[in-house]
Amino acid sequence: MRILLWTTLALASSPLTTSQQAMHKALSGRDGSPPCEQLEALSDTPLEDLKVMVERVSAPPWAGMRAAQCLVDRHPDAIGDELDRWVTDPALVGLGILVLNRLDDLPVATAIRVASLALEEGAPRLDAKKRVSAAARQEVRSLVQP
Amino acid sequence: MRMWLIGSALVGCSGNPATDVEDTASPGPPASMLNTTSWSINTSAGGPEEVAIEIGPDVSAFMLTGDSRKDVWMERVEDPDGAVLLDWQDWWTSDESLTEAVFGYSSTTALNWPIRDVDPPLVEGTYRVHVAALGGNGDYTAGKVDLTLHTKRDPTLTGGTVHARVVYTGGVDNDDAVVTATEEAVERWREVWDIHGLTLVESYDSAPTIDADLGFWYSGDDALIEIATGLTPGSVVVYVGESVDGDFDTYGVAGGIPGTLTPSAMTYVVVSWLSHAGFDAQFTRKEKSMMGETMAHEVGHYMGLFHPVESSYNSWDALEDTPRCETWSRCEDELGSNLMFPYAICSGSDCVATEDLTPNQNGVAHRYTGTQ
Repeated sequence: MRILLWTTLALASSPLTTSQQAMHKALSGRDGSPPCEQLEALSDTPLEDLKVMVERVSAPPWAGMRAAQCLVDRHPDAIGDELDRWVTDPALVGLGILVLNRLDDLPVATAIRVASLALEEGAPRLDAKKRVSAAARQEVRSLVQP
Repeated sequence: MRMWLIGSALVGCSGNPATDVEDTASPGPPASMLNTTSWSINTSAGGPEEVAIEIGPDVSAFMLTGDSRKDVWMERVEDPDGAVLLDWQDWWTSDESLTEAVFGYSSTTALNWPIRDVDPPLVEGTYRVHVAALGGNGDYTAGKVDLTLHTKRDPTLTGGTVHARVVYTGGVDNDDAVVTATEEAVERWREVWDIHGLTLVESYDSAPTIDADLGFWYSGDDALIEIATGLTPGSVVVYVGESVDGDFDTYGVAGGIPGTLTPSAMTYVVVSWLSHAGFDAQFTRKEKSMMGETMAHEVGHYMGLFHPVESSYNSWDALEDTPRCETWSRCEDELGSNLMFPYAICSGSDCVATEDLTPNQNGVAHRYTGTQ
């Protein structure tokens, strides 16, 4: 079986760049993937390439989730619009769960904003109330436990 | 596969010094081929203790598990003639991996023997395993090590049944979509194993008090002991959670290579459902299939299989029929559909199905003492 071509084929409408292909491969590990720092070192434009991983790579399913986690952990200020969309779009519940499970790691103001959005507009399956209640930060938790 | 009565097994053990000897035939279904014996030893700072294992006729494989508050190291295995079968020094810096037992970095360490089909079959007599407890700095230390010996009788080592308990954690089974997807994933796992003569017998359980972020994956959790206790002897326990330790950089983990058959804090395989459902938390047919392949892959680790090549392409398993490829293109070409390949090869929304095992990999899986 010749598998080599698979990873060099275009994804979606346009091909991934070389650095994006390298990032995709690193994100595809079945037991785990390298730390975010190592992933970003594969690219000259890590922020943009991580966004491509989230928005355009659907397989394996964990690749986009891991890329999203790197964005949340390392670039929260640069993805404000994305964070808001992830916790409110019912088609992005997986990303919303990821964000709400990291409320203690986000900048406080960001955490309060996305938690509030999720509580007001989040899909039921997001279970926002339970996840916000589990935050260690009192100022976040107080959104549901005044 | 021929089934043998537990009572016909002839297995005895001794430690040096042996304390608190407790010989217990396993409870559980009478069809089990496993014989189980438990006892304890006290190690010293002077070096490893030599543990004698009496192997009776027709025993085809054994697993020795050491469980301690210290890290447990199994340095060496000798056959009844004193020939060294396994020595940690051969593997410590090797670019090939055979068993984690020789590394001693876990408080629960399991050694399965034989591992490969090139390893000599067991013969009647006294095998010796050198067992040590290690302190935090890696030095020999005094400590109590609880030992459990499982032996099995399987004259062919070509087919067998593995019992698995799939445990939903933290209430994830309240989500019908997750339950349905998990059950379909298990069917894919069964389908993959059927190809290789491995029969999966699964059952389901729920552990709502265990956090669905599966934070125990590295150091284990004593709460797992109770869950594993009372299962069919030899069962592998697969925990389904939302994430692994709250992160999405790990999608599935085995508690050891090989994993123990003894109920312990490290008796687990963990799988994240959300990592497999992806950004929308909805499973496609392909994602359910991939979750099943992850289950088969992680339990494959638990049964003693390493990746045939690591994703650095500079270390390999110790099997002769898995190619020693050194570039990503060659490795993907030769091993990309192997169940134990370290990463998924995907394009667009599709990924290469991973269901192949080489004859030598199959040999490891069938020598796992839990394969009955």
